[in-house]
Amino acid sequence: MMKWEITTDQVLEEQVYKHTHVSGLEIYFIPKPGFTKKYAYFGTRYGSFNNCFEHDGQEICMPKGIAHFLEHKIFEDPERNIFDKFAALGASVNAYTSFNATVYHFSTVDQFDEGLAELLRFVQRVNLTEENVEKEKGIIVQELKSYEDDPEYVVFFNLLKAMYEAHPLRDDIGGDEASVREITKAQLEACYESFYAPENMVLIISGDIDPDQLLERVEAELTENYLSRKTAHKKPLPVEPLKVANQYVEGNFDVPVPLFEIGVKGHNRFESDKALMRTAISVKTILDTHFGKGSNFYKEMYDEGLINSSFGMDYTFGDSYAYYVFGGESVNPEAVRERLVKAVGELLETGVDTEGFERIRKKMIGRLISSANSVQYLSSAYVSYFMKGLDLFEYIRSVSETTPEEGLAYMKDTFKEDHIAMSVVRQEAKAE
Amino acid sequence: MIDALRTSRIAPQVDLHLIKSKKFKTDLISLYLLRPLTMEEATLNALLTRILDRGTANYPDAQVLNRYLDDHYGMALVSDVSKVGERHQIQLKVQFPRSPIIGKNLMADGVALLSEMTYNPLTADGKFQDSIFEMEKRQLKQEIESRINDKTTYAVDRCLELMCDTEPYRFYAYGDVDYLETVTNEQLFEHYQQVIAHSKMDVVAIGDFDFDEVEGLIKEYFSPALNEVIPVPEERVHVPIESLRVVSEPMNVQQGKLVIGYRTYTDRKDPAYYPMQLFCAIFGGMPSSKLFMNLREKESLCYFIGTKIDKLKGIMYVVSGIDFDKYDQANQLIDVEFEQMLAGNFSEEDIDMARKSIVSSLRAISDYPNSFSNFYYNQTMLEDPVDVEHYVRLFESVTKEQIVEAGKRIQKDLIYFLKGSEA
Repeated sequence: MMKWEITTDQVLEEQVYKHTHVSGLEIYFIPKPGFTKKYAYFGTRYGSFNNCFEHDGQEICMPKGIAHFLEHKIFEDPERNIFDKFAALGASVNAYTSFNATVYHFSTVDQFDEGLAELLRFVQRVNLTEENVEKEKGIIVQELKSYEDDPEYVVFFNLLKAMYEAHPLRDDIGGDEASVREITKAQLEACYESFYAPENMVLIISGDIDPDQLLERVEAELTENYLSRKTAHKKPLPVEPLKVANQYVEGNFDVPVPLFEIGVKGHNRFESDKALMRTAISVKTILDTHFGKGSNFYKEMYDEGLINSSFGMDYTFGDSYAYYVFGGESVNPEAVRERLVKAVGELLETGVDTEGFERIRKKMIGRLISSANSVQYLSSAYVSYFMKGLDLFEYIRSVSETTPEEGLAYMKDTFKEDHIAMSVVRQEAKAE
Repeated sequence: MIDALRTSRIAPQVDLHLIKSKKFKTDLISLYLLRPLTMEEATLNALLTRILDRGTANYPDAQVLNRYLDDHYGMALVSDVSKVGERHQIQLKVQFPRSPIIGKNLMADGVALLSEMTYNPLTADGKFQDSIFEMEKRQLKQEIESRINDKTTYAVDRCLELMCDTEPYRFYAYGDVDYLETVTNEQLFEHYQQVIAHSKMDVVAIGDFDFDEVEGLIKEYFSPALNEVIPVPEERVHVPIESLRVVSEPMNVQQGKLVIGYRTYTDRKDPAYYPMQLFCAIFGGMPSSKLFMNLREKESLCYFIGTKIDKLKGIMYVVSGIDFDKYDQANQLIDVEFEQMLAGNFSEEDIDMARKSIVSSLRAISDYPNSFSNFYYNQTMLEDPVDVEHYVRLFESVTKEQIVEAGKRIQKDLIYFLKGSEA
């Protein structure tokens, strides 16, 4: 008898059901009664970071962008296009590849069971031919070109390249035209066999769905071939220094106002996941308190015309990296960088505005409650935290528990001049 | 799931729509002011909405206001404009969570703040504060100029702008930079007073609240004196085409953006409206569409290709990103697929998929408070039924012949290509 383990979150007033299948596949269900649309995500912990791994006893490295290429090819079906199959159910299907995951998902109003069965089926097998692999290259090259025309994408990925020298965070998730053209059918098959295995995967379902029999229905779709697969040994990521590779990088676009991203490299060495989450939330809260819309910094910079409402900041982390990022549009990005560094220096010396910290904590709690209005947000956020090895509900609990001291200590450790890089996209300087 | 609805006229020019849905953890109160779409209106309304949320008489700068919002559990304000068909809308909204862990009902504070933003702006010497006016004017100019950062959206906007070069539809939702330069603070303040006094206003509240409590609050805060309401004309759908126009413009891009504009000559009161929506969906409105299957999946010409239709204006367009040297081939293949549609070369199953896709989107609107609020307002503004199932039935009765017949009305008006600067 397959059983759910149920936990309740007091802040969101939401529940999550969990079951770990004997194969190692983890299954989650978040009930959302009253909502029309239902969502399912079937994902593997395999993304652009996992290009090197052990295969047939040997360590191999794949061309860049192969996880994303494979995501495209999973949609190949010998009998009928996968998009058509879902459309016939009134459902829509899609997928994404990130640094650490490839996730296939669908949403539907009706016929959820049929859609779920279809999702499980098409991800559990791959249909590659030399011809269909070649054909995909043109499509992917056009996808990469569309990103190259997006200055916001370019300014951000340029920043990662400037900050990181060895870590694959510096590589575009989709690779480049040359690496994509190089990819073969045999390589795609090797990646598929190595990472599309139950113990490396997760299934997350949310919506107005009866959880009875849900597990039985999922199990009925798991194939012998799938259940027999074992995950390849992933090669550990290179050790990355905290010093940035380059302090400045510039790209040229015809943008009316320059775009900038300022990144500061942090570490993610914590004694526990709990400490990691509490620190992350504390840092985010401190940043919003001292640099967000209610801060003196924001007011001064806005009034001087150095930033506009696009200015924002965050602290981002994964299982092998962490960085702060501040970005937006500015007529003078260099001045923003200078003022920001000065303001952080003052903050590290004088300490956190604790009254402001409590105000931002209230805001975070309110915003989290509001976001639980969306079934899509809840389920997709659950997926992305899972892929980082974390639990969304535990993360939310940390919002009420964290203290300003935790984030401040971390900032004192990591916010240093040689950890800072800036990426700018502006119009090409005209020759005098 | 929507649990209850109530509409009432609370003042001569103000309608209140209360929508109860227990599943939501927030309450959203939206004020809609309907305006005609002209270049001057778009510019002035856009500038106005950017000033209104910079501070009010009681919260005299953005910092004070933002701290108030944070302190109210991340209460969120929206102050923006949008172009709906050939009309302009000002939207002022407030959203806040409703939860036992907050320990208090934020409704009264939320309604009061929305009213404050609407009726009690920050002024000095009978106009807006000069420093804020000048700052927001500069920021809006940057915002309009930054349109070119999103090349695909920009190409779509340019295509429609050129296609409708004598119709109000051409105006950008945020207005025109040259006109913006000439706007004075006095002029904007006068416009503000005009907007507040002479616009049709609708308040839509959606959440899990007591109807009488909210109606009482809205009546207290939003009951303007009787005034003459500015007329807002309907869209002109039947605009004749003289001949196909072809425009290409150079820009520093890696990939060409192709946009083809069509006129469907079908308004929403026309029986052909429903088959027309289905035609558009089968042609290019979903991943199982003819354009996606052939130009992407079969020919590997592009990563994205799709169609959209403006239901009020009756304009459809195709948009895709392609290599510069694939321009002729892409155009030719799009024409082939269009002709195939007119020849009836699509199946009952294609129709079924398109219908399910549209029906599913319609039914899912009630999952999102903001989408449902906008949907509900637009339906009442147009005096169209608000019951989604009414439309579901109409889509279900459409036949293949009706889709082909609807398609025959469509005329290609303008081909726009954003090409590389070297080309």
